[in-house]
Amino acid sequence: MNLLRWCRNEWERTSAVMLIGAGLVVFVLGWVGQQDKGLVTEQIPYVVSGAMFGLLLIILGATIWLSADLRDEWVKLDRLEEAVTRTAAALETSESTAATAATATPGGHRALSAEARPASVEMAR
Amino acid sequence: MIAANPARTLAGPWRETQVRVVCAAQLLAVAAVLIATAGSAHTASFDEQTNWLTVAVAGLALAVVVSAAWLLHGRRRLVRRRAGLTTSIAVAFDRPAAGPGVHLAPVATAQMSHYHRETCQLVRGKGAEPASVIEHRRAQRTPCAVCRP
Repeated sequence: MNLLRWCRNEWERTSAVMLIGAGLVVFVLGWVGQQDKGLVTEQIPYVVSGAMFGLLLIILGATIWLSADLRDEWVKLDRLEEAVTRTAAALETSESTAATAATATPGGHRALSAEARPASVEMAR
Repeated sequence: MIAANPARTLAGPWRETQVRVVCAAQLLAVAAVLIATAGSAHTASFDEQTNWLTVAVAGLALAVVVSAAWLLHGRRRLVRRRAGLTTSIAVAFDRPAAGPGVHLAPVATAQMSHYHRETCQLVRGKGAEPASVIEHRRAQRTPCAVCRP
């Protein structure tokens, strides 16, 4: 069940593994097939169908696997970029809020106006 | 602010047209090898079989070249994007902190060839000034190997 789910989620890698496996099988079949053939004209079809086609399948499988790796990294960069954008926006917002508060009350928190002071502070004086 | 990536809608470093072209080329390569397989199996002439073998090698070469170009192009776009993102992060976050006397940006003096964390022992009491990583890089400075800013 988990394997099926993994295969569905990782369909690129699944197809890559299948292509590489099929390529190896074709390769071996071609090698076995040409062994008992004495004539070169009988061996060449096995070279074409076995070696060439098997090699082609292996190349395609490897390409798909590496493409999946690159795509995964691309998606990770997407997420990272979104997170950075969000954090940068939040940082800018907090900085502008702090700057606005600082200009509204020169001297920062120590220069609170009488209205802003808590009543307890006024009472203690 | 970080610019939006125009290629974000695609699920990879390739454009749609590139995907189509590569798929067509790979199908052509597979077709060439399959046709060569059938052709060489249905003739007993060595010359004709050699021709079919050449067709198969051509198909294989096409597949190799297309795959290599595809992967290299994807890799190059990924590296460029990673570098752009690194620069964006440096620009967005590499600034002095608001608190008095505390800086997030690395520090250095004009004579230094490395930039450091403010807390690094190598810059204690030397009057190093904070600046962004980009400014340090422009001044041909490299990160300190001790504090690794």
